[in-house]
Amino acid sequence: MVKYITARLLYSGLIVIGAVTIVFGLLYLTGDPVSQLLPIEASPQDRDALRRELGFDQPLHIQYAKFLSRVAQGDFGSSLRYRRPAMDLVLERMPATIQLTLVALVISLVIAIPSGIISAIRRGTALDNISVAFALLGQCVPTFWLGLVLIVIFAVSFPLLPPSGSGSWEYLILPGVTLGVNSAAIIARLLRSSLLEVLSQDYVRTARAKGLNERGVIFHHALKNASIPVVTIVGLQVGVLLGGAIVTEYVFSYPGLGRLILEGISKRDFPIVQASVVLIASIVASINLLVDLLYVFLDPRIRYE
Amino acid sequence: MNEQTSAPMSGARRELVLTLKRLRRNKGATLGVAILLIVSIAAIFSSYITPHDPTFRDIARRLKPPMYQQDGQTFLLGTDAVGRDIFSRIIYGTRITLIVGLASVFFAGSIGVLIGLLAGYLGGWFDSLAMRIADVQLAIPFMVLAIAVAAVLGNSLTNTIIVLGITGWVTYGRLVRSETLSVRRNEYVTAAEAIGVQPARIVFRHILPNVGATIIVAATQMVARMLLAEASLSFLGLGIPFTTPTWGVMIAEGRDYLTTSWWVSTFPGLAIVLTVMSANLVGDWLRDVSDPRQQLARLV
Repeated sequence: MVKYITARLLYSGLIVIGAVTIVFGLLYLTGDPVSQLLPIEASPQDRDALRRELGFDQPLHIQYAKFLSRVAQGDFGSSLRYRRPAMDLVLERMPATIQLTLVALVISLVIAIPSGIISAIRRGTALDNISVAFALLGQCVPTFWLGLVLIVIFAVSFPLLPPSGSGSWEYLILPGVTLGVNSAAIIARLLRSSLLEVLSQDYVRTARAKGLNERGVIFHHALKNASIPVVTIVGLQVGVLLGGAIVTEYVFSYPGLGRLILEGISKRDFPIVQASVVLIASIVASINLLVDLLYVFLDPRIRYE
Repeated sequence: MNEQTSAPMSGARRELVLTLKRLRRNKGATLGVAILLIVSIAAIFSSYITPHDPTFRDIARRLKPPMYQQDGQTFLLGTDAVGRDIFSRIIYGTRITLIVGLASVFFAGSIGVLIGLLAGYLGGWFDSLAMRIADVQLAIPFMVLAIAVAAVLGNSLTNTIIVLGITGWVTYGRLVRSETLSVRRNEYVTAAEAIGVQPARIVFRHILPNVGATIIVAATQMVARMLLAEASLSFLGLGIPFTTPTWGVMIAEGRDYLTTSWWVSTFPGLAIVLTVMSANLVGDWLRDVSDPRQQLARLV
């Protein structure tokens, strides 16, 4: 087990290095990296100065090695707009985004788990049909549009919740629901099909045959076994939610990492974009690692050697 | 049915009729196909069927509600902030939607299928490298990567397709690789290898047709995902330029008038929901009816 965790940790490290390589490569996608780092109106002198300062006049492999060593120390360069280290700015905004992501995850689980279970045990009923239809709809609604519709309904027509900004818990409800609906739909669909499959297994029939009540069958025997694919998808959804948060934060003017990235892009503040992408990739890689380890507790048959 | 079709049917035609019969039994998929057909017709003939010029501005009729009438003309879904007809713009938007949806899936599919086939067939260092790159890309959320690439490339129709292609190939790559791994164990592949057929010919003549069904099912489901991604990018100003009427752009334009004129953003959004839902319904149906290795492969 220790061996497995070590190997898995090393692999997660490799993934992060890969992400660093991608953001390094992004700078070269248009040919001249300096053009990404300076405003369009910058003079040729400015460009040359920055090129020398950041070592872009050196061979590519040396540039890459230098970039890696700087990043290893958390140094992504300074934000041109704020004149502060990019990683500091990103870390300042990260808690707000993680808060939004967690609220969205909780909301999606609160919707998905009951509706997935009810759908599976009441298969073919009106309740199942409604839940399946909502799950399909939830997968097809563009996040940003749902956000706007929710603002119109719950902040404009019936002013119950604030339309934008941040502060108390009320500010998290609309963005949280907006961000969570899509994941709720995906998790509910998967939980339903996974539970249906488990319910047709022999051990469930045995449990029923020995006279266990339905509640015991579902919660003691079926749910835990049906949860393995669901845990996988929930883990993957965290990454999707972090990505979706960018759009949601824009819609609700929520001061998180997503807003910072979009501002960074419009102001050509590329170090911020690089630092954010690497940080998000590190978080996703860690979550994938946690999910892999969680399997062992869910299914004792899985043993990592 | 006319007499021609009652003549003995060829294999491909029999398959088509069979598929249509199966389709009729699935109401959701039938609806999906119908909506996608309407969207396609609207895209092809948009310049003939739009009731008004989608780019004509008239400040005098700005932000008029649905069913607004002026000089005997009806503006079915109302007008936007500069007086353009929303219904006509939605019809025009089908063009970009279809172009981006199909082209990005084709682009992502081509990269993914090629890499997946080679990784699955060759194995070794190429396989390891390709799958490690895929793992790295999966650690960066699709939207985050798409936004970062779009920021570097700048916004245009071609760049949007490139962005979605670069970010979307992984799904195909992994899927085709795993299919290739199972297909290459078949005896006909071994036989082809034994008589000295070139590897390239084995991959494209013997393996590719047998993973074709999987590719088609994945492509249909991918269209839905790409449409949503394109709309998000355009909404953020990183996709299609604001001068082109697309659904994502239209929603963004209506954002400032939410409190007074809900229709500006709402109708383009509904158009996205309907189209994406249709693509999903058809994709799910294709997945369900295809016993991938058996039935659909013959349709390819």
